[in-house]
Amino acid sequence: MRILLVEDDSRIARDLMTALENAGYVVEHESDGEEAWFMGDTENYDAAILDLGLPSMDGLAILKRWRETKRAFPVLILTARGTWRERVEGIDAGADDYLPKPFQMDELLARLRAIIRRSTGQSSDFVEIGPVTLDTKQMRITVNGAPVNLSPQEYRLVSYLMHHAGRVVTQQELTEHIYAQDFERDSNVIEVLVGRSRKKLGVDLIETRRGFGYIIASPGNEA
Amino acid sequence: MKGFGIGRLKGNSIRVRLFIASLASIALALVIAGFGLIKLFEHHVERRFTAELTNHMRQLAGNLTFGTDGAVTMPVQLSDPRFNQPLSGLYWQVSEEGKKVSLRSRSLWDTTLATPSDTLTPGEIHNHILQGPLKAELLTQEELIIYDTSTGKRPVRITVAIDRNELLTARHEFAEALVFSLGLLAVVLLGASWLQIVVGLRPLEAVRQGVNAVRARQKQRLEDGYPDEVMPLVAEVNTLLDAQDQTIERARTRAGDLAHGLKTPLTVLVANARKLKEKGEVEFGQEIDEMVKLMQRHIERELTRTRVAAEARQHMDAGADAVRVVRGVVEALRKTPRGSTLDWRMALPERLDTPVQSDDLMEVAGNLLDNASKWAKGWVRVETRELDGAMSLIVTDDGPGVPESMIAALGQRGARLDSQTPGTGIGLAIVKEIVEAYGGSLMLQNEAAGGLRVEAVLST
Repeated sequence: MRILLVEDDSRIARDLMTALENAGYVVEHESDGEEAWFMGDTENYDAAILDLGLPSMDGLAILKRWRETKRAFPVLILTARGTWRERVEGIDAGADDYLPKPFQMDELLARLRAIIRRSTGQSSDFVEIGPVTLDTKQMRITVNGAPVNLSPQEYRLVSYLMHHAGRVVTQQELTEHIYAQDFERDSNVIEVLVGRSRKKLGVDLIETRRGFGYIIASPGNEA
Repeated sequence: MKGFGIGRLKGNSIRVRLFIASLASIALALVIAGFGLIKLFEHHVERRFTAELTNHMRQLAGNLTFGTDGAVTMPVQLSDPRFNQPLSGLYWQVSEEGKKVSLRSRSLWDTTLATPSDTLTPGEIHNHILQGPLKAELLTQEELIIYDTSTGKRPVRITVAIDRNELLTARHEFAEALVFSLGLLAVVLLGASWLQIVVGLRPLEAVRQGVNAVRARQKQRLEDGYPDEVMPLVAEVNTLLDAQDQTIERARTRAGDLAHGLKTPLTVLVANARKLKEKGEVEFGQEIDEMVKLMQRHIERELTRTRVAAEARQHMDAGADAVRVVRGVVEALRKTPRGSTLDWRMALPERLDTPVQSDDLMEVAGNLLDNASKWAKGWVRVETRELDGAMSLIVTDDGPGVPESMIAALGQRGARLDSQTPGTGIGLAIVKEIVEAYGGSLMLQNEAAGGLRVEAVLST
């Protein structure tokens, strides 16, 4: 899961990045408003955490411009402006949720999970496909109830495919959502990662569509 | 017209000052006018008397007859009957130059008029004031007329006199009538000037009422439409109000900046507390969390207070449609992940106009609905009611409810909510703050079927 973090205070940003990375997300941080808008406009993210008071461009304006150009990734506003008028304005501008500062990290992670889950059409913290269960809260994958020991990259790969079950995901898309932007993109890496994940899962979950990418069949299609 | 009664007259009053000034000037003007009129009257009457005497004299002169024996006779009686009443005050006498008085009016009885020993040239009329009978002062007129008679030229001195008391009596009567008229005039003039003062000062009273209306927050500023003379004062008052508003706005901005400025360091503190807890220093971490929460509560309270105070001053007639505000909040919450899974039951009228500021109402509704959605299992119900001079917002959920101890704590005005109690975060404290600022109440009640019912009454 690839997250865009827009926050101009470096201490808060650093802390957030650590916590988000520990939670299994790929985080890209931006502190300037204009830059942040450009990133969101051109890159694919699974969610954005957006501060409102930013240099060069206000957070609310960024959000409105994203929504005008149909950038639909979920956005969590994280701001010191905590009045309800501002919250309602933020949500009306297209935010999925609003968290005033100071905040508890647990709460932020829970809300972030919730907006991502909703954007991918999941209704709980668990995604179940056949014998495989993804616990997004504990960042664990179990097969028939037995936990599988995955590396962070492997977890992200399986998690991303499970969230987008029933859809073919290209290698490029996977790279974007598993690694940070500056990662050297090499198609081999994904192939190796998929191979290792298949081995660890031990069940036939990830299918290869040669020339297109990878797919996990959705539970509906299976039935 | 309260405020213009006689009872309100005090030394330091414009009305009293103006009234005293007009009283003095009216009195002065009338006294001068009185004396002037009496003088004029006197002058006029004296001229009338003199003309009358001349008239009598001409009549007398025209009727004097000289007999062949040289004796002077007055064959006809003069028209004024007073000449025939003894000591009536109107007299005449005829004397030949250098001789005894030859003829006189009956009114002189046995006296004669002692004419002054001046020399008269014929045709010249002399006026004197002489001592007459009964020591009366007489206004006297005399003329020397030379008659051509059969016995030769006869120079005759004709004297006519009238008691000066007649004149004085007339003046006295006139003065009496005049004083009465002038007194009446004075009363009318004083009444008119009092009316003028009252009417003239009415705009000041209007300004006072205008300022009262501003203080009572019925109006923001004094309006136009005062007389030109009062407009500078009105403009000054408005400038003062502007300055006051700016000061409040600045203070509010500073309070807001302070509060927002504190939120970033607090966020960092929370992060540090988390790291401490991760390192095993759970107690320290939790204490920092507690302190942060306490500071946050202080910040929110002060922010709320400044906002409520500033709003009350600034948009006093810009009330809100409560239903629209509540709907706006519900729609926003409904879009959040947690809100989208709940059944929102709205028992709202078409609209509900309330003088409660929309920001405050939004804060109350937002916090109550957010709390409810946090704890609700399936639904949140929101209802507004119009009360007499107030409105109430009722939020019910199907969650676990709250401990009775918390409900008791909330009942006390100004009581701090225990930050340890789950679900009673800063939100409820803000609601309580606003509700109390509006002189309303906040009631929590556990529903029999489970869940919590919160009613916030905002009076105005």
